Amino acid sequence: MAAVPAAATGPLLDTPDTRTQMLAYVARRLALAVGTLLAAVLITFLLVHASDSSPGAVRLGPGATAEAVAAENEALGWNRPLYAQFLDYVGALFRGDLGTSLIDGRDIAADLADRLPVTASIAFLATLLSGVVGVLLGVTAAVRGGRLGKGITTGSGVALSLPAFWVGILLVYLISLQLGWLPATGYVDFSADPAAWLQSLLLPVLTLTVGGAAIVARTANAGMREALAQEHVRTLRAMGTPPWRIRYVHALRYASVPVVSTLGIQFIALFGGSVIIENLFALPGLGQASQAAATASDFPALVGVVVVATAVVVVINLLLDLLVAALDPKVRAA
Amino acid sequence: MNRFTTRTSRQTRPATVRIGAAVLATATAATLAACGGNGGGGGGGSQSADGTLTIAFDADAAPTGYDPLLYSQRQFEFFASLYDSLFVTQPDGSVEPSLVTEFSNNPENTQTTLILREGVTFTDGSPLDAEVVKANLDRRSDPDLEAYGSLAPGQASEITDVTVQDPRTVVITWAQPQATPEQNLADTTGVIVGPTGVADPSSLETTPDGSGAYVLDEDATTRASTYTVVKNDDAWAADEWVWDTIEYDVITDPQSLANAVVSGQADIATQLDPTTIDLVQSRQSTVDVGGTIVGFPVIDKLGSSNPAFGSEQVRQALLFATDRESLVSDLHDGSRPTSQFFPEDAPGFDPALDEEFAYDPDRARELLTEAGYPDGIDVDLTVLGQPDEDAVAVQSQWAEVGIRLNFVTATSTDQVFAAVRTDPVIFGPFSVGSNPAGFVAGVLYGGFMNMQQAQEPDIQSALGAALGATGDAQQQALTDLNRAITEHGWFIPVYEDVTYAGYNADSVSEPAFAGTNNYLVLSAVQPAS
Repeated sequence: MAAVPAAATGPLLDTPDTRTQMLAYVARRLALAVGTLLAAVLITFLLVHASDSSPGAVRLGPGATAEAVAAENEALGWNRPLYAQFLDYVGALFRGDLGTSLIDGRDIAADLADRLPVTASIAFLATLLSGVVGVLLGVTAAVRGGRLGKGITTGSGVALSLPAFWVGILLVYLISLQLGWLPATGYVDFSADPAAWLQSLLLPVLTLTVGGAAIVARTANAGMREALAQEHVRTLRAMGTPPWRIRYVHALRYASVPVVSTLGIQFIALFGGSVIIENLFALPGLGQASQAAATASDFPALVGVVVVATAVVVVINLLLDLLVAALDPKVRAA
Repeated sequence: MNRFTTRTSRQTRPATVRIGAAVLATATAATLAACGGNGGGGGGGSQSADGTLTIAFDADAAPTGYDPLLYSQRQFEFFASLYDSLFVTQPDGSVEPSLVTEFSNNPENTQTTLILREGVTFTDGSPLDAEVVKANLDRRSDPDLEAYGSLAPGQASEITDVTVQDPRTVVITWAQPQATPEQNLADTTGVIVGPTGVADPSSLETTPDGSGAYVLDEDATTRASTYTVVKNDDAWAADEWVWDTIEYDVITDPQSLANAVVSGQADIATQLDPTTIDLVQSRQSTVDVGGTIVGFPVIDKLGSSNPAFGSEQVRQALLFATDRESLVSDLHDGSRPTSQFFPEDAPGFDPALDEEFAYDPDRARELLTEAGYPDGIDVDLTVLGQPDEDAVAVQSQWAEVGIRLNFVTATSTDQVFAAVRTDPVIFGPFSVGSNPAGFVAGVLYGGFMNMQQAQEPDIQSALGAALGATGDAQQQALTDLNRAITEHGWFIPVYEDVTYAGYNADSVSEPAFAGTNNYLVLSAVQPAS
């Protein structure tokens, strides 16, 4: 009788060894997360300082004299040693202070706090829907096979090749302009009206789900096929385990590791690539903020967006790693 | 193996999977159903039902904060709700007193006396008085204040003195006679900021300080995306605006801007891109106004950097070498080809000029030869990034007569600004609006289009007459001024751009532009009857 892999047998075993392994793993990942965040801040900080403009020039505008720009830079501390500026910035960062905009003096942390839920909502809902639809399609393709399986595989290939903005335009035309079912633009805050919030996000989420679900479907399909071909699955069949239990408990659990990894990467990609979708649907998210900051050379705002986006990515990566480690003991032992 | 698996799965699929799929499908259908039900009105439905007017703008309403004087006239579309102006342009183009109750001009039109409205209070709690008005206008030398461009020292509508006669009376002295002084103090230019904002302009970066009918709702505002203002019932003009709340959405993508008004998320969308007009007109309604002239101001009229441009014949050759009809037909359907600087609806417009300076490549070649350039000339035009498609089209037209338009790619915005002093021509849209003489005085003759301070007696005398005269005499002077600009080749017009705004006729009345200016008078917008 073949050994059944741990990933397919059940939840974490609550043994002292397992707990130690997990704690050590969490500590390593946390340290890496903090290091990644600091590295991202440092790189962005250095890139901003390497540009041929300066905050004084941005703040005073194109009509300012060189003397006025120099005085403004001095007042803003731009001429201080780089390490001192960086340490100050990191210190302020730990206090939740991202500074103020050079263009309009707004508090950047407050502005990004308003915008983060928009982008996060889109990315989260699109990832969730991609996961549900993708797993359903992928598992169906693997389990049913035949023409349906080929159809799903071909369809997901086509869906993967469609640019998100094109899908968005098409959905807006059909669902909003022709049928009038959903708003074409705008965002409603969840606290103001949860139903309107969902309505305002559905089209962007559906737009992103087309490609996202296709990726997940392909991953789930491949994972399920591999799982169903494993020796332990054959053993389970020989032991008389019901087929639905073999597929949806044992094989699906085996296939879930790559699916979860894909979903995590998907979330990060959706989060980082929100500019086009936010512009298309006029959503006040981080993508719009980063575009506005880059266009206006608003350095503090630009660094703020990078910090927030990196922090979200690092946290998601961390959670993803922990989830995968929980699902697969080989990972946490590595 | 597969066949066995497939068949078994059909027979034994767990109920949870089927239920899950059913729940998902039902939830999606229910959500879509909940969103529908109002035809083409979109998910949000009409915003006006709860007293909210939603306006979608194609650009940020307040990109550098809430100091209205930092902006051009068009921003009055947004700032009119937060601030009041001394005078306001009406839909018919007339200028009416707003913060002023009475005004008078001396016989020479060099001094204007304003009697201020009583009972006006700013956001900071201070009342409107003559000192506040003086403090505002005394900022006119600040080069960052775009609104004061024409009032600044050296400009055609220069104010030399602002005197407080009593708490309600201000006397403004102009450097030279003004045809319609009140027009110089209308909309954004005449906006009065509260004492706190004037004393500390940096406070306006985040906090408006106006006396308008609305105040900013900071909790419902996300800078560069959505600005929300709510009615201030204590404001003197509160009754003149019917909406409890106005939401200004910034939608920079042209297609999304059109979608917003078509699907009903916005009651009004402005300014629409020409490519989306048909879509909006097929589902909603539009209004339009001219007034923006797109073309090439000739910068190097003295021939300092490009000697050919010192020749009037060469400048006229550019006029004849431009095939405006083709360009408009190919790229700007709905716009109007024009050979003159004044818009069609503005005083001084002369249809004969369009005939006299119509496309004539042979005449252009003759003029170049007469000027001593039979082999043509080179013209540098500095651009940031890709050149405008209009400029590219003109490049091929000019090439046919030997005028070689070369695009010089700038690596910074500083280089673009510097080009205004070095390139023979620049290119762009210019909102001449309903006061073309003021625009000529402040921009074309006395502003950045004439950094060389070139002199042209015909233009100078016609401008002086236009600024100082009234009635028929002013009309004739404006016609002469328009002709002089064209004949001397100070501006190479291509077309008069038409500004479009879309609106949802089911939710709001037809909006109107402020005369021939390209911004709407939003106080006049009412709920649809």
